[in-house]
Amino acid sequence: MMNMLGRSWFSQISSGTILKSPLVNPGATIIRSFSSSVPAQARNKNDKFYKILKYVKPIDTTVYEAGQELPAGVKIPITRPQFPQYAYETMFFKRQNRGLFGGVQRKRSKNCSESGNKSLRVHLPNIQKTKLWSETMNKSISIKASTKVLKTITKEGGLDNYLTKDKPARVKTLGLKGWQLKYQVLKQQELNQLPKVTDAEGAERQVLYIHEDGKRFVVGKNKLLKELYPFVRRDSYTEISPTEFGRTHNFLSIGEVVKKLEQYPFDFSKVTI
Amino acid sequence: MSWNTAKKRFQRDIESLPTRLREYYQRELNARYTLPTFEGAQLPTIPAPKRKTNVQKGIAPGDLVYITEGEKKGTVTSVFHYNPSNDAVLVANVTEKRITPKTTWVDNQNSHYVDYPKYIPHSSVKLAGKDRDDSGKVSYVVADEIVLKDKYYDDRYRSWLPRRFVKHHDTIEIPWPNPPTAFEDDSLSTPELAVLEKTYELQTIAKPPFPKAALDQLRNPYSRHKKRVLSELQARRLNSPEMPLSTEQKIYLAKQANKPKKVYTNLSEEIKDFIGDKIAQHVNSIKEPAMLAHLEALSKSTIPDFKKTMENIKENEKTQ
Repeated sequence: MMNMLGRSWFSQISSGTILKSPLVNPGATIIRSFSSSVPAQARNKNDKFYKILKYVKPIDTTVYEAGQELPAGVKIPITRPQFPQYAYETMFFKRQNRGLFGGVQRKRSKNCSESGNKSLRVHLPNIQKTKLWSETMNKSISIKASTKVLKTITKEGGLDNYLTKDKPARVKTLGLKGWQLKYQVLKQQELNQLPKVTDAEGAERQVLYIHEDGKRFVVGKNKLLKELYPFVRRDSYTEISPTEFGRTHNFLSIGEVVKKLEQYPFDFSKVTI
Repeated sequence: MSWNTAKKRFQRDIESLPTRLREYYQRELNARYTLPTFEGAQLPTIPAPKRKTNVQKGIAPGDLVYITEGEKKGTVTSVFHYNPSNDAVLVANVTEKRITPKTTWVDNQNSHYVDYPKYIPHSSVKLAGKDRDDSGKVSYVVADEIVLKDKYYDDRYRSWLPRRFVKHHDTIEIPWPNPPTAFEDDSLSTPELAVLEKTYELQTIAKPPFPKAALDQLRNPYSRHKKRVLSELQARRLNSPEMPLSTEQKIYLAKQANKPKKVYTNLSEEIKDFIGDKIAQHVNSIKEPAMLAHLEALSKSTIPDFKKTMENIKENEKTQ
């Protein structure tokens, strides 16, 4: 009887059905995504930040590619976006998008006179205009911040630490301005991590970009584009003006410019160390 | 709002005034602009929204009417004209002696003092119908009130007209009279054929004014505004940059990458026996039939992850 039951249970495994039991829970790996994903529980009132999540500006996460059919209802901006999209940009009390508010918003209450008449009033958060020093960017940032955030920044040990912390709560309460500052700080940190080297003349040069194959570039994208222009011009059957060249090449990243230069007999020793 | 509101603002709109005031101002106007000897009609005017056409009133030139008030009370005459602004009719044989200014004189008139057609209110006439029986005796039917019903196309009037019936007598229809004689052509009139000839066609957006093939020559089919695909620059303008990973995130990802890949294998016979025995032991210890039935039902439910794991095992076996 015992064995029979046991066998019948395993015959169910092979046929695709299973008894729910913690013993035989199949080992599925859970992949945790980072907190910058779209708020899935936006309507959940139990969420601590429901006041931010209840009405956030929807973001478009589609990755558009050249040659793709023109998407309907999508307006193509005049300039390229400077900052990554922020999934928690609030659509109310919008001043919180222009400073570090840390999720504090205005509260509502009633004024009550001696005779008992009630009138509506609001309590605004304690916002101070301050200059905060960013260690990474080596400059002070003039910004409006709530006193609550100022306290948190002190606790975290600086503005950069406050901005770059990845906890979901921090990402939600950063606000649009904070998110943009975070991007600037992280970009600067990436740059600061690049080494400084001495060239043949003994001068110290900052490496600005390291290519996939290990080439260390000491010049920026604009100078590389200047080097690329004569090659492209010679390659074309028709005349290419600098403006036209700029229109088709300015949007390339420094890595893409290097890859284009690699197609031509370009002496990289001029720009690398 | 039109530009000439100021003009109207200072005008006295008589029709918007109350009835009494309207009558008063009407009398004032008559007194001011007409000589007492040439007095105009004294019938009150009807405000424009309340006016009705002769068809709506059920009366037309040529109709026979029975006069109920005034000097000619009790006679049957024919209608010349219906005036909607006064709700009055001009009928044959009802005239008044009037002094007419010389500007209004007609041919062969040689006196200021003439018989002038007199407007009588529509309320003081009743529509009459002429009936002739088999012996040739003529009799009149006078309708106290009439009702308008249905619609028919009258070829004499070249329009749709309602039928007229005596009220409460649906069988007695009073047909519309023959319209006054048609205009005769003179040197300035346009012949009917010329009127009906179509020399102009209305242009609408539904019908292009030129052939469709000519469109490409009129407009640039290769305009960059008509491109239906994204260019490289447009695609880049639509994509926003990625947020760089923070140090903690980089460390986490590096750790994840360093972890050995999970290998899926089938359970060995020994372990299968062991788990089976354990579960059988537990199931046998349950006495309640309801609980057993519940477990039986549970065993039939499927888990999607289980299917995935079995597929992973199969793949792993293939690679080995």
